[in-house]
Amino acid sequence: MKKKMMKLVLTMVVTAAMSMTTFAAEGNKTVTNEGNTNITVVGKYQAEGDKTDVYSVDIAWGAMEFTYSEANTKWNPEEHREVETEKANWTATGNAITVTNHSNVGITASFTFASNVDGVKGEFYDAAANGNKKTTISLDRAEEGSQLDSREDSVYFNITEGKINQATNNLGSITVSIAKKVQ
Amino acid sequence: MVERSMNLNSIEKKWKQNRLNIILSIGIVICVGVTVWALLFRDTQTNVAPDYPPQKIEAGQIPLEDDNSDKIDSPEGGGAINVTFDKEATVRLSEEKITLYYANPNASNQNVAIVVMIENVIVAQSDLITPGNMITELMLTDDVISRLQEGRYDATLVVKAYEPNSGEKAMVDTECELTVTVKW
Repeated sequence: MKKKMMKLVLTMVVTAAMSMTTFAAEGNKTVTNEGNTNITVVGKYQAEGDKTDVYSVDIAWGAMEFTYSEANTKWNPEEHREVETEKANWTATGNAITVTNHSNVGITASFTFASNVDGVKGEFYDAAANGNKKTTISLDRAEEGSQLDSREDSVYFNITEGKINQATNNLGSITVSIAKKVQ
Repeated sequence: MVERSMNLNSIEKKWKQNRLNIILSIGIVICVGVTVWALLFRDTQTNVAPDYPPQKIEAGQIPLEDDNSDKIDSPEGGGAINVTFDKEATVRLSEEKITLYYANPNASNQNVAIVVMIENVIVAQSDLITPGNMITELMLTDDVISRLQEGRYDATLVVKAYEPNSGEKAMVDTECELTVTVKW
């Protein structure tokens, strides 16, 4: 009886073993008892590393010439005094600053004016004349195949306060500060 | 005896008189000489500082390969530059150099000079970089080595543009963020 039981168990073990998979030494190859070879294809993922920010920005500006015209007055004989007929003002020639982004990051461009003449001040606007104040522009990163003009914007500089008594080549300087755009 | 003593006094007085005359004569000759030099030979022209001093072309500039960029459109009387740079730069204190990448491509119509600043301290500055060229390293300024310690710094890259023909500095400057790693 014991021998029959042993034979039965052995037969079951051998039968079961016939259908078991054999693992070859190569870790990614599996050989079945039918002679088929399955090769496991392993896909590994590595996150994108830190890329260096490469900035490439066009900055174009106009002549940046500003003319101060004194007020015009006319003698009023009835009131016996000079009457202002035209107010003193500044006029600009070529006051646009255009920034174009070709970088692999989005950028902001901020504009400041440092005057070299006491009392003279300036502001940046979104239009050549009578625009709204605008001191910063924001441009997205360059995308492959995209039109360049989609990442271009301009500001316009005007003198808003102060006066000069004679011509000068050095009213002041404009600084365009380029920084990475915060998403 | 008395007569002899009087003679000696007289000779001594004459000698003193002659010595005084000689000294006065030498003084007069010197004064006349100085006057003649001042009137005829002294350079009376004052030095006049030029408004646009000549500037050197950066010795370390390297031509940009395959730079076929078209000139940027700029309004009449104005200017245009393309500012191309890597945000990362490295200072090697032992070599007294900063390695960085800055290019002034053909697209620009201005010469540029760059300045690297850390907290208002000038770390390095270039001479003029002409369009179509780049730089990859600059020497550190003289006293900056003793002021920098190893580590990373937020720095500023200042780009100044100059009209190539007149040398006149443009009204528009550019400032960019730069990260500088300082190593020994």
